[in-house]
Amino acid sequence: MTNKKLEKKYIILIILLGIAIFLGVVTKIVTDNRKLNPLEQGIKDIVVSLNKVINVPINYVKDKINESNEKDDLYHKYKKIEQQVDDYYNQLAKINELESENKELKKLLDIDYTLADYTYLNALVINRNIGYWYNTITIDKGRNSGVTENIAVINGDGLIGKVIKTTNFSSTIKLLTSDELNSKISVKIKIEEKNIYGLLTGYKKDEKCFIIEGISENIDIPSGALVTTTGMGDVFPSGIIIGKVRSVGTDNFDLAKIVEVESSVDFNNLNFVTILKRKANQE
Amino acid sequence: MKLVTLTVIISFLLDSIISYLIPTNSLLLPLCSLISLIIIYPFFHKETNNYLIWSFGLGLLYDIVYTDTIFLNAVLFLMIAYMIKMIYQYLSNNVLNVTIISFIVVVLYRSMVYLLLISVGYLNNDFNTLVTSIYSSLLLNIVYGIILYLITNYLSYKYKIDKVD
Repeated sequence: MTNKKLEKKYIILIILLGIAIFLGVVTKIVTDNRKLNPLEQGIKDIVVSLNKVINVPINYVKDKINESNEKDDLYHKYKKIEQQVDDYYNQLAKINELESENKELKKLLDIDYTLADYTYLNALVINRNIGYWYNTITIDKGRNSGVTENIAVINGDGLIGKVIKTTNFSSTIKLLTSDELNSKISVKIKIEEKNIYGLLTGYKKDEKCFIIEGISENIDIPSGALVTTTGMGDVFPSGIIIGKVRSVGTDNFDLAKIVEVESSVDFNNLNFVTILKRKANQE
Repeated sequence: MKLVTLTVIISFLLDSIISYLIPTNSLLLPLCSLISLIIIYPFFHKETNNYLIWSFGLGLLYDIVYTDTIFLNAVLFLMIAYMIKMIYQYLSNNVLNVTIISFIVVVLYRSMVYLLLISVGYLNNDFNTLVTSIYSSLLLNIVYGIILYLITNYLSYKYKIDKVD
């Protein structure tokens, strides 16, 4: 009888120990900075390449549908572009002047990274957030295309996230909607000619908006003001759009403002992204 | 075994294809690989060990390719496969039971991952997110389970492949 009781105690102890070890292992494997081992990389590359091939006919059909939808709107778009072309040469001259001015100012202020210091690499999304909880997407460009960990990823609408894992032919992007990522980004709100600085502290999934904190109560922030990255920190260069101010409130003690920012990116429907690679002389 | 292999491969690839076609906030989140575990069980007869090995392998592949969380889904798929095996001891293999088991498996899988990620501090405790993840996954996966059952049932009948009903 005593032996049986002792045996039962040992079994419970072993089960508890097993659970503790499993939780410890899980803690280690869900972290974003875990390096993929060569076997993982190899298998992932093979399946992602297969997925890419399967996606070809799907993309073809998708493109054809989009094409037929856009045809109706073609004439209006043409007229709009015609107007923009008139202004193009003026803007080009202005850009050249601003670029040289910018170079001199950067030298003076010793600023390292702005958008001009990056090359753009376009990539196709292979799958979107299959694990549901991890807020990641997989793209079809990897180390062979010069992608490395901890570089910013954008699309035409604004900041998407950063690269957290790479293999030879694919990369995993952590989306900005993930709490681990968006709680560490310094942002600025442009009000007329002034910039107000704050920190992204989270993302409200149900309201689809980011939260900015750390702004003093006595500053007026209008709705619709543009929010961009500041370039502080190594990952995100200055000037990438996050979104526009939707509403402004105060914290529980009425000491600081809490700003809700409507994201400019539709995180639920990402098809193409652009990776911001640092130019070779900056690395 | 060819039918099992084909079912698993197609289901695995469908997870990626559907995620690419459907917005991530829709009510059609895919868990096709997981559902394939319900459909392939009757083809293993009494070789349940082989079934469990297949489940572990599929979970491991899911980890490596889709979630970058090596061994997490492998263990969860194995546990769910064991549970499916237990359920099939009491239920026969038909459309209604596949629907019921699909429902149980989706709810259980989402809850298990959620509880695990909360206990290791990866997620903040937000019960609404869990509920959303469950109801967003039910419709597509139950329908997929039914369709897959009907197709595999027809093929096993046509090509005289043995399966436990």
